[in-house]
Amino acid sequence: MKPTIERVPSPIPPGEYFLLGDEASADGAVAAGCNFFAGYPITPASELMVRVVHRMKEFGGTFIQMEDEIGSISAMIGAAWAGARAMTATSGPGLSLMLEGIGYAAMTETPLVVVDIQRAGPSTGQATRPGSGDVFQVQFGSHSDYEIIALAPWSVQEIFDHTILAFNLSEAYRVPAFVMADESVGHLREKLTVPETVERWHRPARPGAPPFDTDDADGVPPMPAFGQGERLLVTGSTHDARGLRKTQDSEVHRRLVERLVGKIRRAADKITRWETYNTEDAELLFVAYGFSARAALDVVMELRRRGVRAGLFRPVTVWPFPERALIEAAAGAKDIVVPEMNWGQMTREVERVLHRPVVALPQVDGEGMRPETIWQGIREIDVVSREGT
Amino acid sequence: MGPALLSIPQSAIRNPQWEILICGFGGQGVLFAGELLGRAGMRAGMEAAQSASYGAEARGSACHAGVVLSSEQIPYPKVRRPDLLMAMSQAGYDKFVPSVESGGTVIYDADLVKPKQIEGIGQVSVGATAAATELGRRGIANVVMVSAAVALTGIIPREALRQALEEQSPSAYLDVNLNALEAGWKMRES
Repeated sequence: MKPTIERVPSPIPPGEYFLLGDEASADGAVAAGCNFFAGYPITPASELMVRVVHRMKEFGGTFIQMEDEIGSISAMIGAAWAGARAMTATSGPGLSLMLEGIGYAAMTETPLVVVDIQRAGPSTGQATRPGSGDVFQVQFGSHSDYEIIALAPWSVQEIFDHTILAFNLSEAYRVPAFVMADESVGHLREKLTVPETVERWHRPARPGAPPFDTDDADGVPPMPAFGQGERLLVTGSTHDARGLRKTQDSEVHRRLVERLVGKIRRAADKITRWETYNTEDAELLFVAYGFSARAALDVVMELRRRGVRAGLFRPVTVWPFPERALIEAAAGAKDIVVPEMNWGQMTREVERVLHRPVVALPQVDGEGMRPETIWQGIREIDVVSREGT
Repeated sequence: MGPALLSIPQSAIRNPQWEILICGFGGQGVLFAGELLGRAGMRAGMEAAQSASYGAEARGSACHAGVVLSSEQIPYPKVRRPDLLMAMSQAGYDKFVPSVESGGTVIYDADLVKPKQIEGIGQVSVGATAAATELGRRGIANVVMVSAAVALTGIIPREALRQALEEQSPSAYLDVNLNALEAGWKMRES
């Protein structure tokens, strides 16, 4: 079923702000109609939570600091089933703890938003320093088959926009949605322009209809809330259209899992977002997301000034991955380079999609991606001979 | 805005972009100063980005903030080679002065930094701590410093800086911060 879409005046006064990425995400949440936040403080996402506390006092909503991240995600699932637009903010180690709940939310088709301000890992790693090593954790962290949606903002404006979009996509498809930012964006201060109005998509509703299966082609069933008078049964075990446990029925299981995966994969062309910079004639193509894409764009601009045909493909949704668009952008490229703040996670995805080797440029030193890292990495590629061609 | 008293580095003319680094130690309001400068740039209609060192820093240990101001979109928002270094500690000065862009400028606190002889960059001493102490609050030396730097370089109109300071100051500190702005601006004439 399709979501209902409304356009409302922004509760955050429209205008220009000079904000941290973390703070802009909190304001985006309020603009998106978030009215429940359960969280546990963690660097570098704490500023987001602090801002949410103030904003919810101002605009209404429930804030709970839970005993840990497992409690946070569980509280969000409960709140979402009570009709709330629920969110939390965390970082890699906190997300690791939440994964059981993420799987449960995927299985029960519970809309919720997790803002992941990524830091250098693994494990507790370097708490105050950036990384982008959660590429696979957000998609494959919990066991078995399910799909999620993940957005990777590269600016303060975009983390605000993405937080709103994450709520909308999450409600429309009934999946957990991630804002997969990194510390370099979370702790960056830039201009945020808050618009006059914001779009809010609401989960599909059809009173009396079963909440866990549908014949609609999009595979998204309507979602009632507790308290609306329906008999509701929510379980992480395999269940039928009405939520009754069917742990021995292979057909029900097959149909359920197919739908959990298929409702996102079939809609991938509608969900995926990307941006391209000078890719039309690019011989040297960079694929980068989040903060790394800012460094890559800086290099692309300088290479263009020197006459090198360089371009940038930026996945805006990391999941679903913009496969078709990447294939098109990479068609004329001789070399493909993937700079990222991990040891080549998206590189694997790019290779899988393009069926060709690409140059990985990992920077794993707890620093934001530097243009110098990219310049060093492309020394081996014969950029110089292409200057002026 | 009057004429700039200091030379604008070649890189800033080439890129229409200023890279500014403010360094000092925790408790001096280095981050406040960075945010103020960025916010003032934004209020003046420029693109602005501010980043900071987020370490295990505490009161008294080294910290710095970077600000990039530009008339165009800023692809890479961190400071690489500052056109302007504002030094509020000797350790920060020693660490960052080698990274200053050729033709760039260093503005340092006269009471806290002993400068070295360096070819190719301009160095200006500002009595920020002294002025702040005179105003009765050492803690506003950061605002004096920003105000003096803005006045001396002419990067941002005074009105935009004042507007940014009014937005950013906690109300209890607004008056004293505005006094600091005045004191810093006067250093243009000294």
